[in-house]
Amino acid sequence: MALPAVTIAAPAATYDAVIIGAGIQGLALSYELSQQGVERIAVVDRSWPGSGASGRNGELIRSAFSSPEWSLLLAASLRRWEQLPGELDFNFLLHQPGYLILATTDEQYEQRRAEMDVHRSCGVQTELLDAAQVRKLIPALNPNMVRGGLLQPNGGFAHHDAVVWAYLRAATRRGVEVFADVEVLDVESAGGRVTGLSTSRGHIATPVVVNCAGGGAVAINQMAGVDIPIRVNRLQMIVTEPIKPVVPTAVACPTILGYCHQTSRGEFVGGTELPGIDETESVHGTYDLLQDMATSFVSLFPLLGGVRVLRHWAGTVTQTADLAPVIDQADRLTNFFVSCGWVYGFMAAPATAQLLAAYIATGRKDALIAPFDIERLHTGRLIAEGSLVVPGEEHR
Amino acid sequence: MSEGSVRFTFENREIECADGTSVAGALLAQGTTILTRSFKYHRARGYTCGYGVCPNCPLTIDGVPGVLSCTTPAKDGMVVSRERGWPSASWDIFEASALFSRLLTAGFQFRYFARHPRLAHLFETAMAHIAGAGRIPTAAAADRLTTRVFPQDNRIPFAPDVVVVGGGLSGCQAAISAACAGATVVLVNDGPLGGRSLAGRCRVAVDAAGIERRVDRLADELITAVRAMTPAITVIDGTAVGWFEGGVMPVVGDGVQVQLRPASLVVAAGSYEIADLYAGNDLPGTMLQGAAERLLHRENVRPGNRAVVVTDSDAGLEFADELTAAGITVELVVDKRVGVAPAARHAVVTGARVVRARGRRAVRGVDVRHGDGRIFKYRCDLVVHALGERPAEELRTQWLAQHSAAATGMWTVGSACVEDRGTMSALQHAAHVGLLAAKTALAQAPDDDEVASDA
Repeated sequence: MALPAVTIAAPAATYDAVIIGAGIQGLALSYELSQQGVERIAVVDRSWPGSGASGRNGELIRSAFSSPEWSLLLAASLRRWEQLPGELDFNFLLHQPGYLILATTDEQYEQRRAEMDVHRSCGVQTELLDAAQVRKLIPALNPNMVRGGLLQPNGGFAHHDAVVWAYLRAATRRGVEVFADVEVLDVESAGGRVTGLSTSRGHIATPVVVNCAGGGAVAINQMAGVDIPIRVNRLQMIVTEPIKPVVPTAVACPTILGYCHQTSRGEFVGGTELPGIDETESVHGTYDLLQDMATSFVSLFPLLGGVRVLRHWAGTVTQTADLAPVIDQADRLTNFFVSCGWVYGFMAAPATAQLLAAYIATGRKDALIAPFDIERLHTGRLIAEGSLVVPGEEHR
Repeated sequence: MSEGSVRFTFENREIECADGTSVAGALLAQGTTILTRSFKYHRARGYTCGYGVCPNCPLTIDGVPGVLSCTTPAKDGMVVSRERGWPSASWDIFEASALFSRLLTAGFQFRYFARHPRLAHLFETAMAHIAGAGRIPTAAAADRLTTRVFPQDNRIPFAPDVVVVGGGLSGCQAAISAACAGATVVLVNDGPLGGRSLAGRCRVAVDAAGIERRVDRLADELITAVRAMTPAITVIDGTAVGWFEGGVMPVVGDGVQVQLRPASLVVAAGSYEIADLYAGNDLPGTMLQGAAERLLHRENVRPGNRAVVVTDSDAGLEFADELTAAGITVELVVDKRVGVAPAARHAVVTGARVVRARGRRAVRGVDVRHGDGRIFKYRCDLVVHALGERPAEELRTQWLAQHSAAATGMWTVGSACVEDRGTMSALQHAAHVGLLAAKTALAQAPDDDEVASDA
């Protein structure tokens, strides 16, 4: 499979580090690891770069969350986002018109107000808007669904495919080798340390393996014999035909379990979720979700009722009990690192990759990623984050 | 206002046309060749495919953006306007982007301003306003579209034995033979039954009995038979949205919204015509054969006055005959085939190809490379591509994605056919498939007779 920047030859017999998954997490990590001085890095993917959730993404970016853990990591990520176009020499259309978390009820409004203390202490700038201010900001919103909102003025979005290309190009220019169509069959270890991978294109010896496999992360952890309680969840999105600008900011609406924005091409892009986990590896869209997304977004933006859906697609993520990611090294398998359980992985990737790369290269774990350890999922000391637009645990 | 005619408003002008004419056809008859502008570079675009499958004719109609005007019949009192271009689609200053084409190559938006976030932001905001798209629907239009009330019985999901998608000749034939075999059949078709045969495509066809027939008479017969077979055949005027997980096939139309769960699926969705590739092949006045045919025979609109036909088969020569019969001068037939004797009845060059089209807002001529390598210029205002077709197999691939390789229950017929028909004609094959689809479905369902005799 000949793809730009993707190595066609078979992987070499040995590397200093192998990253499983060529999505935004894996590619960003490969770039940052190379910046840390790790020399021979391979990224292997069972499909093509960006083929999983990175290429099926809502592409939103914010750092205003209700918990300090999320807000601090994402604030660092937002700073990194702003450096990247220049550093990677790629205009991936980072756009920061603001990110609005809409409150449709008094309860949500008060919840958003209460979160502002966290934002202040984490250096995240936010404004609480009343109903009139929200309606003035986005006149197309259904006035009956506007109680108010929390606006992060420097939140926004970036072109997700372009971000994948930018990292892919930057990483391969630094000598990282990226392989498509390579299935990992087994993670090999000896004496409690990772020693290599068995793949569909041969054996690779390596002292460091990182699981960035997105929806495929569960299987990789099982191969490594590492117990991390994560589950697969299928998420779905729609995009409409292009229309002139009408939704100026990114919008999340917990009431409809939905998030959306309008790209500079004019397409309205968004996803909603139904309660419960849709635990499947299928990436086919379903009609019940298509109907839910269409009706929910028309209820939010009534004028979308006359706009056609252009495409509808699905992707898989893995998620944990607290919906926060796992960024850690396995305690019983040295040098087996994971960056999985991501539901907000796109926006968090730039900082996570940088900090995880430093951890892998130096052994020092930054305080920003320390809360997202494996152990919390076993001890039940979960991270309490209340501003996520993701359904809870029970099955659908 | 004359009898059988309709009047609508187009950008403050009153347009009158015969009832049944499409909006795009009526506009072309009035001399409006530019219907829209391309998304990024604002190149002029006009009537191209005639069947609502290309992006070159979306207009805002009664407050709804992006309406495909080539398949939308003009109605009295419609308010129609174009969406792209400033100050108008005809005279668009952004057409000037052609002057900077060396700077604005594919993907240019990713290359500029990487190190200048403020400029990048300004640039992107400007692009969002310039990029081609209609305005959001008016409140009245959105309300009209979202508050439609569907008859209760049309919303009940149901499971017919056979669903045929596409009501052209092959689709009708498959539905008839499935119903004759005892199956309950739903025939999904967008618009009037008959498909491309309504524009007189393929003048003669071999019917299911193996006899050569005139297409218009055959179409009348099949459509009448379908109508006569109610309720064994239910015709739904709508679009099959897709084949979803769980075997759900939603159908949405003007007065209908149903979720079908058919046992057997027959894809009779037709085909897409293939366009030729050369610089300027998007200039208004460039049409696929089906579009020119539809204008001539279904809409009584002259597609142009001076035509060049590009082809790789005898079909192009036959269509050149039709153009001549309609009083249109056929300037040249560009036959791509090598080693074929040029037909004497037209000016034909063989082993030739178009290398570019000339003109800015409409095609004014083409440069043709002859078999000997020399390039000649020809003046024309119409270029017709008669270059074969590829099957419309979206539903087929969606069905395949949900089934194992060994599964049966889906067939393709007519020009959507991807199967080997052997020596069967398209309609013989459609009749055969209809029977097979019925048998397969009925074999799965509990047999009513047996149940009765057991009792």
